[in-house]
Amino acid sequence: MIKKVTIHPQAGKGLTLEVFKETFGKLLANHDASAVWKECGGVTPKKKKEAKEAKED
Amino acid sequence: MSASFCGCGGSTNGNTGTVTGKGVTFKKTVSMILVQKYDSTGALNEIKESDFVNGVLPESFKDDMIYNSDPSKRWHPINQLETVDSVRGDRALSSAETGENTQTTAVAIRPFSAMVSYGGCVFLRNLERFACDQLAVFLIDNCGTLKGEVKRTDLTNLRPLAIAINNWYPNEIWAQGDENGMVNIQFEFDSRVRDSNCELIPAGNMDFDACDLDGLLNLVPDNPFTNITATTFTATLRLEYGPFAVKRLQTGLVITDFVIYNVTTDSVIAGAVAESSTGVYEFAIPAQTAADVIELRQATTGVQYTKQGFELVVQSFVAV
Repeated sequence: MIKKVTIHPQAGKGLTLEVFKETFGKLLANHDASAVWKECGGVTPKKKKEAKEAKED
Repeated sequence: MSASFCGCGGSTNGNTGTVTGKGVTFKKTVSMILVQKYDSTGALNEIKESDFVNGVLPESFKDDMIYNSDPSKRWHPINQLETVDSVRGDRALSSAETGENTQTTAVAIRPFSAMVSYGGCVFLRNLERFACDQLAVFLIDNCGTLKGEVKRTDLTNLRPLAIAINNWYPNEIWAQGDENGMVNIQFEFDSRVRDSNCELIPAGNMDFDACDLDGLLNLVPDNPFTNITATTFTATLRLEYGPFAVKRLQTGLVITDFVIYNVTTDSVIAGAVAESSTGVYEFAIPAQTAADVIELRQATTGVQYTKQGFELVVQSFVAV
């Protein structure tokens, strides 16, 4: 049986990529976990310097 | 059984004119839609004039009724009724001692009996679950016409025909000879149901086939869930139908069919699911606080339109 994986569209929200992979990695073994993470609301946190620059702009 | 004869029904003159070619009549009853008479708010379950769009009752209305997450508002269609028998008995009369001046004193209650040739014990069990409820039915004829009733003081709402309280009686007729076993449904209508208050919605005024509606199936998880870790649990989901100990597994469900709910924090958990073998669903969720109560629930929208509707029996586990 082909394993069809479905994931909540907000499953990446609030999770770092590392935690996302720990949580869903087993189910998403045949998928690009970081692409799925981004599709599901995963956001790379800005580094302190970038965040400061963005604030100044 | 009889009900009081309540007189002539109003002060407006009775006139006997009819309109040829436009009359809608109700023919042979082939289906019924069982509903609670009142919903959980105490409101009557009715079809309102305002539910129609350009004179047609839309399919979305039907879907809202059959798939309603509130069981008290839900429609429960029962199809392919056979051997329908619903004839009022004779009225009660009284006469003077001389035998003259005979008058109607009571009208007979209308009974209802029908056979259903499918479903067996599981279907019967589900019908019995309604036995303590205050029930009513819309009837459907073989032309797809729906019958309900209005009150003379409220002509804009079509009510289902009320069933007498504690009178719903489904039972099984065991097979004899070459015949199949059947489920028999018996009840009596409420004594206040008046034939002259009935109104019809013809098939042409409904954007769906009222003879061909299907109710929800119960979906029952094996208890308990298995493979419970901080970020996983597995649910095996079965229908009530099938042989003892090997009930039919429900395949094809996806994450939008479910709501994973943290009861302790009162919040939805965004998870993922894969059906690893038929009816076996492996869930992954972000780690929750240990000892939180997690429930697997059914989503209220989305699923019903791609597969036969179901009602998931909610089951919980404790997070580790």
